[in-house]
Amino acid sequence: MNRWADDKELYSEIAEYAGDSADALFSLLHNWQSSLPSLRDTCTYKDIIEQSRKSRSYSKQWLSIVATGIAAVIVIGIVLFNRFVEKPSQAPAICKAAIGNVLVQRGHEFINLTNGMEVLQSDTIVCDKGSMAVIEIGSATLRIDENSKVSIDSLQKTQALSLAASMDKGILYATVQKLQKGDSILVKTKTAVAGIRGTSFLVKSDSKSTRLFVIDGKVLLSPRLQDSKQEDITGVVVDGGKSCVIDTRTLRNIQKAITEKKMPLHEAIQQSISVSIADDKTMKVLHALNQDVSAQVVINEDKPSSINDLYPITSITPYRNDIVVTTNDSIYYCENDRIQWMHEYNPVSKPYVWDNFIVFQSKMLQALDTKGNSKWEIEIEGSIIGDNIVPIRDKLVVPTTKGIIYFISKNGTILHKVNCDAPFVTRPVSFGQMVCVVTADGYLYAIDVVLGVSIYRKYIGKVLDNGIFANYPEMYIVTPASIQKIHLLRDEIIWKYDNSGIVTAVEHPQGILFATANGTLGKIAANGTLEWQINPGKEIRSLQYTPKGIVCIAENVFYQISDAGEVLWSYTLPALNSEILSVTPKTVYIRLGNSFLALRL
Amino acid sequence: MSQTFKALTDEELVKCVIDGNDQAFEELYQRYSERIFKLLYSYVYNEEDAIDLMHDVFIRAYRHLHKFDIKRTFSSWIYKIAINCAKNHRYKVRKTDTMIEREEQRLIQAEGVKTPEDYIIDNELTQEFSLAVDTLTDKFREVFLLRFGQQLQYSDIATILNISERTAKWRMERAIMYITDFLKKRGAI
Repeated sequence: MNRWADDKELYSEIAEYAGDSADALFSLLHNWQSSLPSLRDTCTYKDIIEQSRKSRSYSKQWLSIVATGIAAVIVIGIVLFNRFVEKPSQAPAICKAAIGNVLVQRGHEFINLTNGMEVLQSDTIVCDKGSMAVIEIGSATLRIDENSKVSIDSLQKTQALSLAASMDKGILYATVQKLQKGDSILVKTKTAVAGIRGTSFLVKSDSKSTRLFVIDGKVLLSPRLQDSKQEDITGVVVDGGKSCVIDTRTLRNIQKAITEKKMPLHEAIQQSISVSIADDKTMKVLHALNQDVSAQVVINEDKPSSINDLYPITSITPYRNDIVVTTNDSIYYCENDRIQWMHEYNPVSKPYVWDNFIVFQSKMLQALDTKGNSKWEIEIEGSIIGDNIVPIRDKLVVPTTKGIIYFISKNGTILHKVNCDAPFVTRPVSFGQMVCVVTADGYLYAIDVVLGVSIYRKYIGKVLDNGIFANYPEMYIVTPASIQKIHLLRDEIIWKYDNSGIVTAVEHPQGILFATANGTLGKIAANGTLEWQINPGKEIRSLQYTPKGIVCIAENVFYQISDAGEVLWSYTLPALNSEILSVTPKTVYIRLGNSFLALRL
Repeated sequence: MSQTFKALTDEELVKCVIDGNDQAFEELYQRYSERIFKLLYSYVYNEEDAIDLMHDVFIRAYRHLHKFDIKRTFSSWIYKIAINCAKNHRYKVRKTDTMIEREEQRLIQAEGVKTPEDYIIDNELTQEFSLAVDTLTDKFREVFLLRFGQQLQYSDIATILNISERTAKWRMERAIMYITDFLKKRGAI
């Protein structure tokens, strides 16, 4: 009988939190506990005491040595100061953006790279899958993509900048705005060295090959030959719009030409390395990236030290210039990219900010002020899904999974409670003096906001999640197979647009935007005509309308699309399964794994 | 003499050590070395490292014993030192460590009386469990190890970690839910 089995308190604790898995977990916990080794130590308390005394006396010795050392350094420093006017110092290299899991290896330590952090000579930056880092060094900006490892070999600044970075594997995108005389910027890979001469370029590298794309300017690409000391000055010049590959086969060909054909090094290089025109697709992407990356991507990512990275971010609610961020375990209030306060709750609903109150459901429906103080909390039946808390007139309308709609006043009093018998599939929409909502069993309800009673109920069948949009006295209803406009008061269909496979829809000031399962995005005008449709790609999700255009994510690309259906801008997201969490007139917040980024529109 | 010490509380023993009686420290060492070792082992998954760290904890404790507030409990104080040592160590070897590999090696070296099949399955499950505990972030792991590793009361855990009892319970709840979820996803339970 193990000691755990007797401990009812611990078992009941596991049972309470682990549910059906309690027995299995309890057994594993016991196995794990009993697998821990026993202490086999030959050390006695006397050794410990002796060691303590030794380290105490060492400390004293060290203190005197250090004091003497400091005095000597000061004296020598004063003498040398006048002899050397200028010594090379490290150029400031600052991290402008770090998304996902980006680590810096500094000596034997690994630390998380954060925005604003200084990168030092000899640091190695490691970007995991779905991660990215942007480092600014003087006029040069390095963007290190996912699955890359870049070492800063040299980072010196006297009058000129000397930067040498090496990358055995990965993708590095560099922009150099303006090179001063004497500046030297080199990127080394296993097979080549790229010397920058005022340009923008991208290097892709693995252990066997290096691929270079140059957007504008010139790059001198040199092969890394085993015994060549001139690797940084002998190579091929790659101009803007062109690309070049150096792989192990290229290196073998050069060696062969030198040893067997007795060809001069320069000639062997020119013969073995060919420069070609870069493909359009890559150049298009690179041109898009060539805009100021750090300005385009407004990084607002919080590192694990601030937002707990154990759970993914579930929502972002912008409020004035601040944001409220929730994860599965906490709610955070961020002002100017700094966390002002956080509470360990288990928020299940996206918070709604209502007259300086942050309203959300954890176990209770509760309101906090913007300082994080609790204002009220009330018990409600069921859970609120997503961002279904909606203010209508001076009340907060709160639908729950139990099929109940609560009407709540500003001071947290339940004014009305209406039971609709089934969970809701749409968020409440304001419709004159009524609020309309559709239940999972296909009924449309209209509830009087003032009286708090259901005054209309009609079967309309299955609708999409959040698939009703009110335009009093008319209403759009979106089902998986159609979009229809009805006159609710007259109970008649005005028009109907059939399209099988509609997966999501949002309201547009002049109609409805919809996306289908096969990757079509379209707009139906208020009169029922199909204005346009485009095919950005499969898995269109997070479709939203903003005054600056339509935004969505298709596959792994973020799109901003004009009202006329033209793609204004696209951006390949560094993480799969990204999702738009929130949109303001200027900014789109996108979840990337356990972090998020903010894109300025 | 030793029997006399056994009758004393931790705090009374501390007072004896401060008064110059080093033998009282032996009693404290005997009471806590095994427990502290197991707690540290749960962080580092290496016996040698855990023993070194355990020595470090007691060296620190001895050196700073005069700073210990007698009104507080010694156990909370020494656990706090142990957790700080463990976290520092973890931070130093972060990402370069091979905790799970070490745990695998240890389990392979350990003796068992089960059939080879049972042994392999049990090993794998225990490794999965270790991995689940290991992937908890510090604040959750600390509570988990103190509660289930050391079987401390929440009031003690709260004192050690300088948090409220409610927060400690909440972290425990999240830790178990996380571990359950982790193990379910990997088919271990």
